[in-house]
Amino acid sequence: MTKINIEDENLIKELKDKKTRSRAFGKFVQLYQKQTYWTIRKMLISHEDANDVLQNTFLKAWEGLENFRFESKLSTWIYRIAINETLSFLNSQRMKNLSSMLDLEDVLVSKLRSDSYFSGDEAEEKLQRAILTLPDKQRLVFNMKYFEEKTYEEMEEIFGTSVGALKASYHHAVKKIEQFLTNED
Amino acid sequence: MKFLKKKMKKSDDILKNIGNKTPFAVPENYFEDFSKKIVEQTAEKHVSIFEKTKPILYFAAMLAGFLFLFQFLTPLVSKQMTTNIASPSLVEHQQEQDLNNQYREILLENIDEESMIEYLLAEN
Repeated sequence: MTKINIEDENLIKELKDKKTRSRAFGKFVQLYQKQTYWTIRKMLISHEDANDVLQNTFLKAWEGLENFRFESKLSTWIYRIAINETLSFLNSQRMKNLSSMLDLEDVLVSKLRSDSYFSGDEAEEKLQRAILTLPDKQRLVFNMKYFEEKTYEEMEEIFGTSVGALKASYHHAVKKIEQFLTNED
Repeated sequence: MKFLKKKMKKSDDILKNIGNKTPFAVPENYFEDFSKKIVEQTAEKHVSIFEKTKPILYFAAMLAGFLFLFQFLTPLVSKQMTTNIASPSLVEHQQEQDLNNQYREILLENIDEESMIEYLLAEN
């Protein structure tokens, strides 16, 4: 059973009550917007795209509140919605790029290079390019473990994938990235 | 083997040297503005559910009213129409008139011109 903290517990009470729901949802957005944004942003690179997907994520959460049974942590719930929205967005972008014969990964690299909100140095840009060579789900696992320092147990709850499978996925990702970085030098 | 170990060590160093700081930034006050915007949007959505369904509700209520009136009035109207058509007094009146007409025709057929003059002279 998922352990829910006191802050979440109070928020859940307010979210369940229709009278306090709207105000509680504001608190919920404030509490989880940053971590959700960064998960999306690292996947989509562009701030504008991340902003669109973040909006959709919270609007979906608002619509889904009625049916949410509050059995998982609020953070896990919002992560799941964000991941679904992000993967759907990436797939829709791939479909759009089919006609132009462009690889989405190349599009993301060019977005990375032209992004005015990219604050990293040359090495960090190279690391981002290495991460972009990974499949979507592996990229998600790598970002969560490497940048957000999530535990495998937390990731297990979010992805619904076993710790063993997540460990394997992360190590494969690290190997590919290392290879990319070594070859680039 | 030594070469592989050296290569692994080198790549480990690369990742360590880069570090895990997120290399992205956001516009100023982005998160403050974002939460406000979402709260506004969800509040609009909350109201708009009723606002959007209001015309449908009105239409449904009107339709229900019409249906009720139709259901209520139809038997009354049809009953009245049946009553009017099959009214005994109307039929009787018609029959009576027909009889009178027939009687007058028979009388006129049986009275000749001579007896008519005699009758008129006696009256005067």
